[in-house]
Amino acid sequence: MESSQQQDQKQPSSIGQAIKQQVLKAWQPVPTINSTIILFAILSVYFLSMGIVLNVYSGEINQQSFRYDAYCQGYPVCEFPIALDTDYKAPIYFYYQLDNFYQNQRRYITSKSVEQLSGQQGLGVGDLSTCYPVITNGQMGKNLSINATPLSSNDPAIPCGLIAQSYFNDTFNITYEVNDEVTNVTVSNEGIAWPTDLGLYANTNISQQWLNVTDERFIVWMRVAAMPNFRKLWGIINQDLQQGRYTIVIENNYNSSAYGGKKFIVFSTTNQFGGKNEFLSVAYICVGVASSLVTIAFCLKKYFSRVDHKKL
Amino acid sequence: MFWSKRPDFFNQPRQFEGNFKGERTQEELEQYPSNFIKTSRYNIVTFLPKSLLLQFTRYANIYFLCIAIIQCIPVLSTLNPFSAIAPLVFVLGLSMGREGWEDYGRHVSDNEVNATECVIMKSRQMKVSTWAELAVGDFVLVKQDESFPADLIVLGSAIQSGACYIETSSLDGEKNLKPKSAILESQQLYGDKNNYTDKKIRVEAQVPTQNLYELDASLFLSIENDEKLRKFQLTAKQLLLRGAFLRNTEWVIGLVVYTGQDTKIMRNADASRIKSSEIERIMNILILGILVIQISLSIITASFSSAWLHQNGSESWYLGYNDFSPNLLSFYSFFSYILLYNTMIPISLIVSLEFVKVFQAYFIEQDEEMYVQSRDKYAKVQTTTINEELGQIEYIFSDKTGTLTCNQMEFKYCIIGNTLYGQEQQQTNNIPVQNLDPKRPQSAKVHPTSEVFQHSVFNFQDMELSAILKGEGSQGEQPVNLIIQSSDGKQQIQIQKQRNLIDEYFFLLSSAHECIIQYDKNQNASYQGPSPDEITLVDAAARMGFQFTGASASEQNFKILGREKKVKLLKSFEFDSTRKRMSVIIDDNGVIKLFIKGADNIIKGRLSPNQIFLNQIVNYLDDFSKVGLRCLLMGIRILSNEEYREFDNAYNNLPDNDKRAEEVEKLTNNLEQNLTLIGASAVEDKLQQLVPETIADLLRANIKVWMLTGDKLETAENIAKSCRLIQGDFTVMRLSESSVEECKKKIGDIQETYDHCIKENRKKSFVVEGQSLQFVIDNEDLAQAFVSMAKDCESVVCCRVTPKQKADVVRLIKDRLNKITLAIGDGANDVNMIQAAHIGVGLYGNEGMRAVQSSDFALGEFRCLWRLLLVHGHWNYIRIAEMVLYFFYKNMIFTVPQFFFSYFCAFSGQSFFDDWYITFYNLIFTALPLIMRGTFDQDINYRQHVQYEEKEDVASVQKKFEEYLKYKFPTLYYVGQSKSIFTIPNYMLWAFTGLVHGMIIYFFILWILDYEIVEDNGFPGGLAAFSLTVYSSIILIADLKIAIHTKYWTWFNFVCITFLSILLYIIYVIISQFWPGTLMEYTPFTMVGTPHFWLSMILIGGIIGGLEAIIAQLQREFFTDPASEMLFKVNTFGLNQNKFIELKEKNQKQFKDSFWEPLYKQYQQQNEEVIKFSQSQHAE
Repeated sequence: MESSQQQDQKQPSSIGQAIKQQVLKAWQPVPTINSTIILFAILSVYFLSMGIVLNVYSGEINQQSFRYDAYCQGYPVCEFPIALDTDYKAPIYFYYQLDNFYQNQRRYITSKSVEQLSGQQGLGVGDLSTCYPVITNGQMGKNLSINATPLSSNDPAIPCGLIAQSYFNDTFNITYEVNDEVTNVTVSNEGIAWPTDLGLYANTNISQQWLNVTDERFIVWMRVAAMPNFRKLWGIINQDLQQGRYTIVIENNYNSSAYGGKKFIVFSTTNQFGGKNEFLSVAYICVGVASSLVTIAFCLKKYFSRVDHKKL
Repeated sequence: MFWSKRPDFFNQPRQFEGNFKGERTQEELEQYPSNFIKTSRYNIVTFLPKSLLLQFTRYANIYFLCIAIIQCIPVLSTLNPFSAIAPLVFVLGLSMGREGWEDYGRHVSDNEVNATECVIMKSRQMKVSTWAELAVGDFVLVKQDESFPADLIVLGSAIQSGACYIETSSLDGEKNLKPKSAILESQQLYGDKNNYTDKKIRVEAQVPTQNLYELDASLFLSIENDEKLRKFQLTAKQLLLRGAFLRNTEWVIGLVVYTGQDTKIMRNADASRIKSSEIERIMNILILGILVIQISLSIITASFSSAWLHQNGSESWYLGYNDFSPNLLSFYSFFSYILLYNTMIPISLIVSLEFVKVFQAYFIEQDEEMYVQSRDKYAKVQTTTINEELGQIEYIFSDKTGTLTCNQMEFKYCIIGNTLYGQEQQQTNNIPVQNLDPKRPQSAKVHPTSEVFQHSVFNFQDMELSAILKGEGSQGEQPVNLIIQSSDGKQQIQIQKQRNLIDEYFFLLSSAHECIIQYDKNQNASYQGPSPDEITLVDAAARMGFQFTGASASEQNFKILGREKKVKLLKSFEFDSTRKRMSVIIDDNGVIKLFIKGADNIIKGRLSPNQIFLNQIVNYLDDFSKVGLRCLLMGIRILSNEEYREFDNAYNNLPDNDKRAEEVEKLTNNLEQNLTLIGASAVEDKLQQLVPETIADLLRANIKVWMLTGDKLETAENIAKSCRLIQGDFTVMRLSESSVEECKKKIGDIQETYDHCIKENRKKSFVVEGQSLQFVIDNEDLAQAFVSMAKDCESVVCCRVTPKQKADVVRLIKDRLNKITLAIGDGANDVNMIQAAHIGVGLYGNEGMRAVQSSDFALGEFRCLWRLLLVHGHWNYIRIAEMVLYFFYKNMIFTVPQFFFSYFCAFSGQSFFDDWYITFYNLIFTALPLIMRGTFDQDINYRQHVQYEEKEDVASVQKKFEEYLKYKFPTLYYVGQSKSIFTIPNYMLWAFTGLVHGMIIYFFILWILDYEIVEDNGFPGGLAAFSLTVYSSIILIADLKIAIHTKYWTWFNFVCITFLSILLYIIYVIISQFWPGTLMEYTPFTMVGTPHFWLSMILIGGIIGGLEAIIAQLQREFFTDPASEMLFKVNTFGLNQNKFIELKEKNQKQFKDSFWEPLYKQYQQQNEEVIKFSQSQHAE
């Protein structure tokens, strides 16, 4: 509008000037049907191929879970028979699964003492307020330490807090019979916690502790689960397991029926992508398929509109 | 003054005596406000409590504080108290720091002002004192070029007549001198500063008002040695204003009447305006709505919590509920959830908006295209809170004089007797005025000129007239034979020849005025006067050889054609907007003449019968008003000595009371009758640069432009035509009736015409005159009818309107239609209107700074409106509107996972995210990309090329293309005008999108990570891992979404999204690995190494990106929006520049069926339009 001879603008030379005059060089992308088609073509190729890869990998993973709380109801020690459908290759990861257990409950999640767990000495009851409501041995309900020295009920519990108190204490002994000979499967509890977590835990004084806090199973327990149904690694079986029947001798200490929960054991192998994950692969394939459909739809749309255009 | 209440006794009319000795008791001092001025609000002790208190008058801060308090109660809060207190302290600290800094500035300036020295007269002795020590009743001596320390009544002046001149630029910005004067009697008593009277003097004055030009007071003097005091009514003419400067006068003695906060300048100072835009208003309502949702969600969650606890609490032994009270716990959890859902409330939105608006204001102020060289002014933003409303204007109310026109007058024609002079001069409308350009060398100027802006331009040339004035040629000898007699026949003059008539005419011009002559440093004389018209006429007379060289109270000096001449000035009656005329009575060698000049209708009604020039002059005037010239008529009346004496007696014996002004008016009215018409003048009011083009574009942007002017109907309509407010194809409807009944009838007729126009879809313009307008404003029915028609007229012209009416018209539209209005003007008479409109724009004019001071935006010229509205306004609206929407969105996607998580954590009030992650989400990770987008985004930039290509033909096409874009640009204005972005449905859509995206993120990641082993060595995830993955996905989606909506990618945007959002986040993730005691401690490194983390982010990105792309594509298929169409052309243009040149060179036929065809046609159309337009301009 404004005639240029009247106001011959200075060409903004410096960047500062360009910013002030709002004429910075810029990229102004305008999506067109072509760019949309290309985008969706890429999406469909990526998601389809990724989905198929995930699906194949996931299919190779063996995983089985067995609920045992109902079977073992009422028995302090119970022999739980299971049957593995296929052969499992080492390493086999052995998990327990709790349902309806709210590890992510606010009261629960905060009830621990980071200082105490890291091995800090001399923490009195007053320093452990974060462990509320379970601070002393009396509240914890423990009177013997690991090495069987008696514990004063007014001394602080080591470890204190709800999380430690509710530490999962069922134990599993996997056995199988070959030619009537019962063989134990060794379940290692080493390397089951996040390596970074190991450094966070140290014992204070074994004779005052009711639990060894450097036990990896404890460390795994302390990393609270996201959901009320969760699995935690109990051990690693470093040998192949054949398809067939196994008996698991369970020390059934943990009371899940009180809160209406369930207990499971889970065998699983892994691959580069982690554990068995049907959902992920299905989701990838679905997105891939949907993207291909969209690509095709837009291609058709483009084709027909071009034909229309030519006719006109 | 801000905090303390003004004592009641200050608000009483005051009576005090002049304090001759200059001593007073404490009691007397406390009777009136002290002259010590305190504009600062705090001192060191009060700063902290007071400014804190001020901060908490903002609702947002109160809310913020409540949240922080809740967060500090451990039972309620799961979050770290610092994570809420830190931002609160930050925001408060920032605002308080600014407040403190500003107040420091006020302290400094207060101290400076209060310590300024002034001279108090104590028993005729000069005593140097400070402004702060002055009190009511003191005698003050002010010397030339000093400023007045308080509002004074002038008692005596160094000038014998009692006159003095003041410059009030610090009050109203007006540079021209204002004449003030002591009343005659007090001048006699106080005219000698060394020996003035010590007699009693008393003043009665009313409560101080804001009005600068009002003084309601009387002075009691004891005259002629008797103790009785005589009363004299005072007017604003005796009032010297604090802050104004004394000029052209050696000294004055004044009596302090108003001090400190009572002075006019202080009374005018505290006009603070806080405007908030409509978007902000709606936004605040939405925030309140969200608050309600937040509270109800918290209530819902809390009741679920109660239910869960009742059902499961005691059974879940691992929770250790021995001291169990589910109701209390769920009551706590209500507050916990208030805290957790707090992320929904976009608290930092307010801060972010402020940032963006400051940047936008900076851009406006830096814009070269809004730089006006002649005044050396960039645009100035005085209210930053309403930037985006510039993009939503539907009505512009514009003043005419000084806004559309230059307020620079050119003496074009004069009619003397029956002869028209001035036809030979060249067309000057398009030649830049030399005086305007300070950078040009001052070319040789024959006539005295000063560096200041000249109100008048003189290009008048007439050979015949010059010849006559030189005494050459025969035309001057033409007989006229005009005899002018006094009413009683005792005195008469005879004008025989044209030459004599011309002499009389120019003598009238140089005598009948209120101008004063002013000399600059180089002794160059220039005229100063109350209106540019007047200066132009005096200046013109001077250049024709009738030079006014000065005046005293009773004498006028001239240099006429080289000879000195003196006449006695008997009386002078000022021009004002109701009188519309100005007259002087002089004694010219024994002949008493009344010279009068005034508006044509006024003078015409006062002529004696049988005017010999009237017909011819009226004919010319009709022609003049058609081309938009301002015309004045000149008349003479001869008074016999008896007649004058009679008048003088009557005048002097008028009672000294408040009716005096009325009486004077009556007397002069009687005197200014029986005039003899001798001529007329036509002055051109020059249009400002690019006014017609700007108005045409504003109309194309569907903005209705209203012109409000004091001019008469014909002149106004003609100016409207010349600035394209009324274009050739417009139907013009006129309303100019003198009674309500007629008005009603006429409106009925107009309604028919109007309906007709609507039917035929014709453009229309409404012209309405002041008187009719008043009927319309006062009468509800008429108002309704008028508004219903006028609102759809492309343009409306209101003529003969007063400043108050201007504001009334604005309110008429603003209140009835609820549309965004803008008022633009340059003078004090536009202030009402500027304050009434949503957006007030003031122009740096010649009429002072009042308009600028009361405006929201100040511009150098009208043409800057183009850029301000169509570009800045348009962009700002889009930026702000989309920013607000996006803000709600990003808070939504952040809160939704928290909400759903509560279902999975037994409604226990557990936070899903780490505390500091929550704090930093709005504060850091998502802040800068949004602010950058809000600062830089543009839909179309019509200046595509920072540098044109070197190849000439390519460059020319590039330029052409830019011109084309610029031409199309106004058509995009509808975006803001129709409020198409920030709407409630759009808000719902964005919020819903946020909900869906939040759910996609939460549930997909839940399903991926639930139970699942996240690594090949078998580790399961856990809460921290889940939370981190969701949070990272949210950051990804928030950035993706803003990237999708960024239309203008500068490297700033790239940097902000990649470095200042994503990179910062990555750095923080690394930090949080080692942040002891937090949820995230020792999680990130492991998690980042797992494939599931990346696989879920890619999946989420793919799904949401894909959805957005589909929606965008469908939108493009079904709703084409002009901006992206243009953008498409821009992009194609970039690719095809060279091809286009090729094609253009070959043949126009090539354009058929190609993309360029419509473009080319538009080029042609545009060119044709430009050609047509320039032709029409030429014709005028």
